[in-house]
Amino acid sequence: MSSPVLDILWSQFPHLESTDCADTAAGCHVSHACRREDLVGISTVFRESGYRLEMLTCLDERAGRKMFRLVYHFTQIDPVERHRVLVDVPVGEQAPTISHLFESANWYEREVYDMFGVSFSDHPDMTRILTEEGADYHPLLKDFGTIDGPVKGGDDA
Amino acid sequence: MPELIRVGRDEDRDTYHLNMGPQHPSTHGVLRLRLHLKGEVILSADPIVGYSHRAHEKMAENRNYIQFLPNTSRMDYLSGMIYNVGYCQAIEKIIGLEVPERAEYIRVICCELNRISSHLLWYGTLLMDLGGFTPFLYCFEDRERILDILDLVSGSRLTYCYGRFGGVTEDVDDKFLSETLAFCKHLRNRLPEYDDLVTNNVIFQNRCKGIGHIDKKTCHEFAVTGPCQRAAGEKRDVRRDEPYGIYDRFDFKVPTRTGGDCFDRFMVRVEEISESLSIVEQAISKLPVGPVMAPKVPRKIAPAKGEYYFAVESARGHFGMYIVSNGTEIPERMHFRTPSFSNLATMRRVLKGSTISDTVAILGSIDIVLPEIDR
Amino acid sequence: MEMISDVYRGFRSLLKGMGVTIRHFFRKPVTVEYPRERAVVSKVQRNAIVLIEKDDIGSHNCIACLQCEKICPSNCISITGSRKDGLAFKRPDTFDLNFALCSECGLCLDVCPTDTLGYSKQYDKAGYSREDFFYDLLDQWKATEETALGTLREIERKKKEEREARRKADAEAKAKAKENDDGDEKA
Repeated sequence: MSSPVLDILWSQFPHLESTDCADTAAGCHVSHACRREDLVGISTVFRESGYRLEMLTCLDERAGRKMFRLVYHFTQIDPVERHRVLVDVPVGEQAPTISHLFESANWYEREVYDMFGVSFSDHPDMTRILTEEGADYHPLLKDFGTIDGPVKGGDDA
Repeated sequence: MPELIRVGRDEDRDTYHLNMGPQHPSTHGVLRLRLHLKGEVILSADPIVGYSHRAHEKMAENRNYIQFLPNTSRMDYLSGMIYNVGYCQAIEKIIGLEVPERAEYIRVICCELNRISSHLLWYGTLLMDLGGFTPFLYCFEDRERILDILDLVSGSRLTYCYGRFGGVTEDVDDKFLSETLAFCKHLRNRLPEYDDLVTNNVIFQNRCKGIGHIDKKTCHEFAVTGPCQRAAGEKRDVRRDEPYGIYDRFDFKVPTRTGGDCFDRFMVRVEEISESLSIVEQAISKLPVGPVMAPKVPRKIAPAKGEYYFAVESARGHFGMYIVSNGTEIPERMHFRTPSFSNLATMRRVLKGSTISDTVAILGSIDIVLPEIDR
Repeated sequence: MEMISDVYRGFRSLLKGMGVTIRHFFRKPVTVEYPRERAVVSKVQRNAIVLIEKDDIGSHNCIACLQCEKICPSNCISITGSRKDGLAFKRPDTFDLNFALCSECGLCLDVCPTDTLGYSKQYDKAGYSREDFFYDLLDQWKATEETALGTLREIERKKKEEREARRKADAEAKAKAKENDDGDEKA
């Protein structure tokens, strides 16, 4: 698909790998995989083109690819166009914050830190938001077990 | 964030920190607002959430797709039907399962009735917070009729597990259709009464007009969706922009206002009730005969490996489900982009400079449900 | 001047509102005086699950396949079953439901292969302790279990006899057809 923001992105960030997902069930129009150091620049391009940050979450892929993967959804509302940006963050390292560009990122990044332990550098308030203050665990990590294990009816159903 | 109260500095001696919540009748859930006050004027407000965190996203990684169905209603229990049916629609889109026409129409009827019931509860609780105890029970009386109607077909009153992959569990009968039509007529006659009692009331207007402005810029920066966004002037509705199900076959308006204050958000939701009634009436008139379950539903739901996203319009805004599948029956990750999470974040900016009594009106008008924020 | 018109309009709006509430005063109340009156509940209302009687057996038809136990997201069902003499399927020995954990999702009803699970009609069960919510679903069927086993064995026996009879008939028909063919060949 063609969009003015794609031309700007491709010209400024040659390392960006973009996949067209417009007619699939992926839910986004284009999916980009970018490097950690390009994230702030790409977010600036989206911001200047009038996009907003709709969702930010994280995947724990330490078992497979030894990385955390951050997933950003930048959306333009008129006409609807959603771009998914995937960023890899090595274990134990920080991701750059974009809360100075998008106010919604403030709470989204706090949630990612709370659930996964991925901290964002230069965030104005890098504290937990959903779990209790002073907790020392990050619940959504894959090795953080549950009390009674996986529910029956999963693997052996 | 916890701040020590410094004593002995002159500029701070007139200010104090006050906790509004987490146990407070007007915060609509377990919300803690840490207010820094000078007299009655708020210098800064910090919403602290997480008191009803129940780890739905962790549960999603430990159950298969079918077993996750009851969890969907519990996230936003006021739009439980919309969330439940929306999850079914998301998985059906991912695995490519077609739903029979009758089931689609039944889903629309039930979701719109659920939307009306959510707006009626919001209406009653907003008025109760402002001190008007009468409309609360009137709204609950109307809402009781909707809950009885939905009980006829789904067996539950608040948290529904009515949708299944491929359709719905029970078919509707004539009693359901006649009661729904009677209810639509009843509510249409009641709405002018609500207008007389509430909308044109001088006290209500003075309390709500001119406060709590969420303008287009705030909507853009905080990714605000739903009636708050529509009251600010942006005419966005997931049912119109990214149609799912059969919403493109219905003729309904998307009410919008331009002011962005409490009264505009109030009027947008009241107008949405009328639009939902019109959708329900259209759906009943066009309801086809047929089965309510797809003929061939796979026993094991195991979507292909990949990342998927699906959004529906809940009573509060854009509800998005981000599902990562690893090819097995158990999801790799499920994240829920809930509208109240982003809408509440605006309070840090909007509540600055307002008074406590305005805070109650503003919090009521943005219509948040805390379990949806905490998941 | 504007203030007087504001006051007038405000006062009128308050009077209109009071008119609405006064009209409600003369309407029939909508409350149901429980427990003297009981609200009519829908036929499909979800409550605790029970085993339903199947007419031709005179008892439930649970075959202890454990499908409901496996699919329950809240792990509230536990079943043990064993094979009884003369029956092709198992029969449950214990069927325990921890109703305090049940979320009334209805998934157990969907997967039951013999359609013997259903919802109870009692919606107002209460208890003083957690143990009051441990239900034994086989309790109501204990008295009729022996008769039910007898009926099931009868049904199995009849099915077996029908199968034998059909097999015999098929074999005879085949033998006859073969004879006719041989006879044709010879002729």
